[in-house]
Amino acid sequence: MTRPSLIPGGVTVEGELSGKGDLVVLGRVLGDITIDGLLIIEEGGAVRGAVSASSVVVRGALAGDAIGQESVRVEATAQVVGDLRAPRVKVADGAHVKGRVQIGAEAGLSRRAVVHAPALAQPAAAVARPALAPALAPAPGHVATPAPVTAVAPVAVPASTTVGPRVRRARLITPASDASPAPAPASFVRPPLTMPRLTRVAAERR
Amino acid sequence: MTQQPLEAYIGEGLTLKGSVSGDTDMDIDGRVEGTISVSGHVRVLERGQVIGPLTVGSLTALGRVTGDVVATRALHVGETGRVTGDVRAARVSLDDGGLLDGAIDMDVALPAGLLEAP
Repeated sequence: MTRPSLIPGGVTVEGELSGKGDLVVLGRVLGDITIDGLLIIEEGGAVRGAVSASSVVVRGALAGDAIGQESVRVEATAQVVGDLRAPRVKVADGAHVKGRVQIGAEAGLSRRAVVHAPALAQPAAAVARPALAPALAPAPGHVATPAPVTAVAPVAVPASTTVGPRVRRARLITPASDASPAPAPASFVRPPLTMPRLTRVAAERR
Repeated sequence: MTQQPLEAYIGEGLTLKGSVSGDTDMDIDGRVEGTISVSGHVRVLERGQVIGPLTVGSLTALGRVTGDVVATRALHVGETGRVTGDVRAARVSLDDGGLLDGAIDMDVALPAGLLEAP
C-alpha cells in the first residue's frame, strides 16, 4: 500500500486538495477535498469544505458535505455539519451530526455539495442536538449487510418519500438555524428527526 | 497542538491548490500549486512538483520547484532537482546535474577593501 498523504496537526491548508491516493487530516483544511481514495479526518483534525472520496471516515470536525463513492463513516468523536451521502452511511453513537443523510447507490455520485461556513468556529455544544435527515427507512430491496455494532446503517430515504425531491439542493446551514429555524417553504416541510431517535435506532440494532 | 512528530505528506497523484502553513516537516511526491510556509524541512521528491513561493526552514529539491525560495537554514538541490526562481538561504548546495535557474542571495563576507577600486 502506498503511503497516504498527511496533513499533520498544527498545519493549515487553505485551498483545495484533489487527486488520487489516500489522505489523512490531523490538521486543518479550509477548502474542498476531492480524492479517489480513502479520506480520514482524524480526531483533532478539521475540514471546512466539501469532501468527496471513495470512502470518508470522520473522527474530527467537518463543516461541509461528505460524499463517499463507497461509504461515509461518522465515528463517535466526530462533529459534522453537513450532508452525508454514500451507498453506505454509518453514524456511530456519540457522534454529533447536523445535516441530511442520503443513502443509496446513486448517493455517492452526486457532486453537489456546499460548505457550511461558520461551523468550525462553533463550539461543540452548539451542535449537540442536530437535526437529521428526513424519515429514515429501510431502502426497498436493500441487501442486508452485517451492521457494525454502532451502526445505524443500512437505512435510506426511499424514492417515494414525501418530504421533497430525493436530491434536494444543499442549503447553507448556520448555527442560528438550530435555535430559530428558518420558515420552510410550504412545499417543503421536513419532519425533525432528533438524536434520541437515532440513538434508539442504533440501540435496536445492537 | 504545535509540534507533531508526523510530517506533512503530499502523495503522488495528489494536487494541492492553495497554501500550506504550519510548524512541520513536509515531503512532496505530488503537486503543490500555491504558497508553502513551514518552519521545518521540506523535501520535494523526484516525482514532486511545487509551483509557488516557499518559505521554509530548509529545502531539499529532488523534483521540480518553480518559485522563489527562502530558507532560514539550507537549500539543497539534488542531482535530479530543478529549481527555477531566486533563492535565499544561509547555506546553498547544488549537486552536479541539479539545475538552478535563478539568483542566489546569501550573505557574503568579502575581504575588507576588495571592492574598492584601486
